[in-house]
Amino acid sequence: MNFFVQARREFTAFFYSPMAYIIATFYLLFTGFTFWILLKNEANANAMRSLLSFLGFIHVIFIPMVTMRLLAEERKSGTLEMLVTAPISDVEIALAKFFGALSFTVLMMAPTLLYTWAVHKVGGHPDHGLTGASYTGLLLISAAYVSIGLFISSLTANQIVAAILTFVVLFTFYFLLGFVAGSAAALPFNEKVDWPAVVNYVHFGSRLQAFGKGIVDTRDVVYFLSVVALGLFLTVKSLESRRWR
Amino acid sequence: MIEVDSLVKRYAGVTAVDGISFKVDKGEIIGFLGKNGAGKSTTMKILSSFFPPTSGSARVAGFDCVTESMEVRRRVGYMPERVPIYEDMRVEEYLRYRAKLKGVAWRGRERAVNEAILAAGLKEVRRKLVGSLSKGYRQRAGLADAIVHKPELLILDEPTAGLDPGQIRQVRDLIKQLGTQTTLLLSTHILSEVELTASRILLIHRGRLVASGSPGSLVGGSRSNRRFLIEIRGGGVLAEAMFRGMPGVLKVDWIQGEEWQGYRLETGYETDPRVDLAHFAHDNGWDLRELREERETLEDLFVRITKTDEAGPQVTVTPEPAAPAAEPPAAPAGDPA
Repeated sequence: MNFFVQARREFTAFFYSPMAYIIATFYLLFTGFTFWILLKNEANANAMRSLLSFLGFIHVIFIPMVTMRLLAEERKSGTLEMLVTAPISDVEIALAKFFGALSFTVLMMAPTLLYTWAVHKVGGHPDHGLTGASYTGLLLISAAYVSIGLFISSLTANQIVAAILTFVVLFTFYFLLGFVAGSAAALPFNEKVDWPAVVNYVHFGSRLQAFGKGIVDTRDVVYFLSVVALGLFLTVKSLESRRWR
Repeated sequence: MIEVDSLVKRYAGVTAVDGISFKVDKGEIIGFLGKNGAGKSTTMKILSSFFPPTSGSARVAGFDCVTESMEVRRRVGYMPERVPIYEDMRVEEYLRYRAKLKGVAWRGRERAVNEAILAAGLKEVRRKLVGSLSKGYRQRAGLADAIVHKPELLILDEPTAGLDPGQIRQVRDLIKQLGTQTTLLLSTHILSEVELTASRILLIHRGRLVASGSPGSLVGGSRSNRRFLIEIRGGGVLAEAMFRGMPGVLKVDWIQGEEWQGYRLETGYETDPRVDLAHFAHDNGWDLRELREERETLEDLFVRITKTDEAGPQVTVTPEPAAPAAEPPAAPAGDPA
């Protein structure tokens, strides 16, 4: 019950500040421009697929801006004290903030669905199954991003620090690990452990690829959901840390 | 309503609260006094279930602040010192959200919000953004939030900090009014305020409870020496010698003036030399301008107790037994609420 009260507050809070509108505007500008370029250069179905991997990266930049204030702002202004002394559990707080931010992200992403319609309009035949799988993947990876961002935001009272740190972590998982896996020679060779496979396993970028081919693999779904759960768990622990610090 | 038993809180090696015990009955207005860093806020944070104590226990309305924290939180209205409020919300919107969060049922919610707005005098700013409120209104918005769910216990951490005298009076009146409806624990270092509002004072110094009792019993009731001031014209050294010779007088300080001479006499607590002093003056032909007992004010007491920084925390003033006792955890008056 209190989860819903707080989740609603978290969601609406985005619209109280101009920040959300600025983020959403730039997000749509970026994606719209990219889509236009892609559409000019590639075949229609391909445009959607390329857009997906591009969005996966764009979210690495935008989601830290969405999540940075979640707990850092509460810590800074002291409102966290009001929140945790209200009859709401730490788990409810973490979940409310997570779903509040994820809802905003979904809302921000929603207009990009129009691009499918645009492909259709210019005479293409977008593959709806592929589009659906792509957006499922995008939703899952965004949830993982939000969860990581939420946890990092709980560690500091400084929103900028939270945003930069979240960006670095997401960039590492989405991008850098891909390079590392790609240059397998750079990894310590070990007969027992297949390091490139391990790196690939946790690499967000390769996890997203299957969705772009229209495959919703349960392994990928479970992986992203595990990251979400881990982020939420760490956030709750971070909130609880006031008890033993 | 509140039972605190040998409460200890240490943060990072610093002992903020060092074995405080007290009980508060339903309907009492308790003034929590002490210097900054004495442990007032920490105690209040434990009582509002913000964090648990390092050791000892705290119970509110019979519920443990650690193990039954949700029950405690439902019954407590807490206003922290900085009055943190979501600044991006409008006053009534914020109160509606807080009422919901605190479990005020949908049916009575709008009324509860309106009552809190009226009680806190926020009617004219109810549509304003919290972030744009003046300090006084902001404080009242914090109070409205604390009372919106009709808590059994109100904990206000320095509710008048940073307000101008007019606003202090308004908030004080509001607190007095609230005190008739709930049990109230408020901290402050404005001593006159406590004297006016509190039914009992808990004086905390360096994490320990050093005095407890009604404002009257604390300042009047201690069995310390009494002090009298007499101002006369024409006494000089002779007067000083005569005062010294009076029975029961322990000490005489001569405050030399140009024309009028002041003498401060200290006597045991059972002696009152005022009548004799008046006779002396009359019999010797001295002009008498002033003769009064200098009562220790709450401020004097506060300064006397808290000034002993170097001496360590062991300075204990034992008030009249009439007052519910200070430490060590003797049985305070009243039944556990």
